[in-house]
Amino acid sequence: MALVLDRRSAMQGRPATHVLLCGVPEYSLTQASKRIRGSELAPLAPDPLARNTVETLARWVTEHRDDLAAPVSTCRLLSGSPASTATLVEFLRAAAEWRDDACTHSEGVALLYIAGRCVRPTESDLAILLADFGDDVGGLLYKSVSLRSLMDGMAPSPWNPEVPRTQLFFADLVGPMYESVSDGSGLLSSSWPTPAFDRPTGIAEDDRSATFFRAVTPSRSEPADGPASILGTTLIECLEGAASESAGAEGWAVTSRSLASHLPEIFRQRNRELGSSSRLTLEGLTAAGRSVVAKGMTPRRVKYVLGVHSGDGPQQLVVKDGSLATVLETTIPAHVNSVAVDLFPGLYLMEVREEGQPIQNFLAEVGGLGMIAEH
Amino acid sequence: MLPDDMADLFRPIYRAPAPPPHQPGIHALIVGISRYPNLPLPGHGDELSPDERKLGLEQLTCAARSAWSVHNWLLQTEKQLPLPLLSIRTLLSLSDDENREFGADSLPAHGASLERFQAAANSWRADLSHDPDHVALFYYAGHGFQRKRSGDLVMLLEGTGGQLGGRLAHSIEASHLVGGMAPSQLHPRIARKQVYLFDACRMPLTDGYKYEDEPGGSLWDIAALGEFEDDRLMPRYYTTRPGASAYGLPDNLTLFSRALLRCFDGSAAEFNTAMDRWEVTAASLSEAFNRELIAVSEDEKIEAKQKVQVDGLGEPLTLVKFPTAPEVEVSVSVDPASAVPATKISIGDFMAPPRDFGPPLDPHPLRVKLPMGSYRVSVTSDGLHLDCLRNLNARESVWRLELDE
Repeated sequence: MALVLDRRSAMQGRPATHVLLCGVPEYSLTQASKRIRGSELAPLAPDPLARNTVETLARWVTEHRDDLAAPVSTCRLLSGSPASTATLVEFLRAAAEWRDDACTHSEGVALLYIAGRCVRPTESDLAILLADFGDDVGGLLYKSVSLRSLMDGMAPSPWNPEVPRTQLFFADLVGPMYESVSDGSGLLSSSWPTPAFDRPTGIAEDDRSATFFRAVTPSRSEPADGPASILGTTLIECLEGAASESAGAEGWAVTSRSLASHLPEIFRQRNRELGSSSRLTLEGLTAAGRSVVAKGMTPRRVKYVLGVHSGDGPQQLVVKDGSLATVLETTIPAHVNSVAVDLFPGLYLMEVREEGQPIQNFLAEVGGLGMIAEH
Repeated sequence: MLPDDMADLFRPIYRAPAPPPHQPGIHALIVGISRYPNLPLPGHGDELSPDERKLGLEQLTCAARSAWSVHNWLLQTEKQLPLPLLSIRTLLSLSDDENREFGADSLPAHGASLERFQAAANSWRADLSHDPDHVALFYYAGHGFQRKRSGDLVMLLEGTGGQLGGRLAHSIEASHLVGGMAPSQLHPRIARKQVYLFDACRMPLTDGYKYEDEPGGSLWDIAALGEFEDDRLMPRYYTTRPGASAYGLPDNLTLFSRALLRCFDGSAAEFNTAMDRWEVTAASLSEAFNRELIAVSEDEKIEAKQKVQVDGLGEPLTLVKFPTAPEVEVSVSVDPASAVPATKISIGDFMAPPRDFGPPLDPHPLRVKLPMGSYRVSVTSDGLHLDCLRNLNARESVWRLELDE
C-alpha cells in the first residue's frame, strides 16, 4: 500500500478528509484454480481501467488537497503496482489504517473508492474480488471483500465514537458474475466474502451522512487505456464544480447531497454517450447529507438554448441574475429559431428587447446539465 | 381448498373497473398492523411478567390507520399517479380504537396474519408478473426490528408473541419479500419498477430475547441468484436508520406516513423540464422526506430523531405527477423590521398579473400560498427597496428580504 499523501502531523486535531483508493486490475487466477477453471468465473480478464482510475483520482486528490472542505490529510493507494497490490491482506491493512486515521475527528470526511470485478454471493451483498482471488487458499470468496461490510463497518460505535459523520463510498465494478446455475457446484453460495470491518449494529445510533454510489457494468465501454472510468471521471467533474450548488453568502459548495443529486445525472449522460450499460445505484442515503465536501468550486457553465422566433430585425437578449444584475447581453439575429447562452446554474430573468424596448420577459431556472427552453 | 375468507385474499380489495388490455399499471400491497393480539395492550407491557416470546413489545395504536391513509390516498389521487392504478391489496389489523373509528364493516379486509400476508403477496406478485412495465408498490406499517448479523429488517406480523412455532414464525424479512420479487425463470416478465416503503422500527431486540438465529416466516421460494439479471429499479425507503426507533402519533398516524403523504401531496415536487410538469420522483421524495419528518415533528411538538434512509435509488422514476404547480405556503420577512409598516411587496411571474401585499405588511412575516415556481419580488418601503428573483418550492419557502437604500 502506498501512502501517497500524508499530512497527519500538520492536520492533527483538525477535521480532515481521509481517502482510500483501491483498484484491482489483475488477478492471481492465472495460477489456474481448480475450482474456477472452466467455470463462468474464469477467465478473469484484466481491468486496466481499475488501475488508471484510482491513479487518476490519487493525482487529483493530491493536487486538490486543500480544495476540499476538510483538507486531505491522508491518501492511500492500492493500484496493482508491485508495491501496492490489493491482495486481501494488503487491502484489509489499508482499510484498517484508513479507518483509524479517519476516526480521529467526527467532523472529518472518509472517502473510499474501489474499482474492480465483483460477484454476487447473496441478494444483499456483492463480493469485490481482490488481487489474490483464485489462488486456491481458503474458501472461494476468502480473497474477496464484502461490499456491504465497508459501509456498515464505518458506523459509529463505542470503540469508534469519533468516526467521521460524512462518508462517501464509491464502488466502480465490473460484474456481477454468478456461478453457473446448472453446474451445481454451489461454491459461490457456500462461500462468504471477507468482511472489511466488524459491524457495530445497534450499539450506537447511526447518525452518519453516508452514501454509497455503486456502479456495476457487465463490461466496460470506456477505452481500456483511458485515464478513468465513467464513475471516476464523473466524480472528478462533480468535485470540480459540476455538483456545486449555491451556498448563499458562502458562494458555491459541493455537498454530499448535491453529489447524490448531480452525480447520477452526469453519470447517466456519460453512460449514454459511451453506449454503456453501467447501472448506478445509491444506497444508504439519508437527507441529513448536507455536509459540505468541497467549497468554492465554481460550477461549470451550462448551455441554455432558447427557442425564439425573431422577426425581420435583430433583437437583444438581456440576462439578469437573482439580484437582477445584468450578466449577459447578446444580439439575436433576424430570422433565427434559437439562441444559445452559457450560464452558471441558477435563476435568471430573460428580457427580450427590440429597439431597446422590452417585448417579452420570462424567468428561467437553468439546471446542472443545461436545457432547451422554448419561448 | 382454501377457506372462503382466505380465497378472498387472492382478490384485491380494489381492482380497476375496466383496465385496457396490456396496459401497464400499478399494483399495490399495503399492510398495517396495530393489533397484535398476543402482545400486551399499549402501556401495559410492564404489568405482565417478562415473556421472551413477546419480544418486549406492546400493541400499536396508529400503524393500521397509517396504512389505511396510504390506501385512501392512492384511490383519491389516482389520476396523479404515473400509471393507472390497477389493484390494491390491503391487510389491516386494527386496534380497538381504530376499529371503532373506521367501523370494521366498512373495511374490506382484516388481519395481517402470516397466512393472509402469504396469500396477498403471492397474488400481488402474480398480477405483477405479466408486464415488466408494471409498477409494484409496497407499504408496511407495524412492528419491526433489525437482525444484528445480516442487517435485515424483520416485519412482525399479527401473530407475533403467540405460543406456537418459533418466536419469529410470524414474521417476514424485508430482503425475503424483495428477493422473491426478482426476475426469474418463473417470473421473467415481472415488474421492473418496485417501490418499497418500510414504516417500522429498526432497533435490534435485546439479547435477552435470543432471536438472532430464529428463522422467520416464508412467503415464497427465492430464485437462484444469476438465474436472471436483476435489472429492477427498486428504491427502498426505511422509516429510520439501522439501530433506531420509528415514531407515531398516538391514535393518529406514524410520522413516516404523515411525512410521506405530505411529500406525495406536493412538498416533494420538483419541476421536470423535459416533461414540462411538476412531479414527485423517487429522488425528490428521498430529498424531501426528512425535511417533512422534521416539519411533522415540529407541528406535533415532539422530539423525534427519526431519519429516513433510502437504498436503491437509480434511474429517474416518477411517483406522482401534477396537472398544475402544487401550492406551497411562503413565509416572507423583511429586514429591517422598522420598514415593515410601510412595506409593499409585489410578487409576480410574468405569466399573470403580480400580486401586491401591504402596506402595512400585516402579519409579518407574510404567509401566503402560491404555486411552486420562480418569481420576481419587488419590495419598497420609504426610500428602501429590493428587486430580486426567488424560487418557490417546499425547500425554498422562507424568503428573507433585506432592503437597501
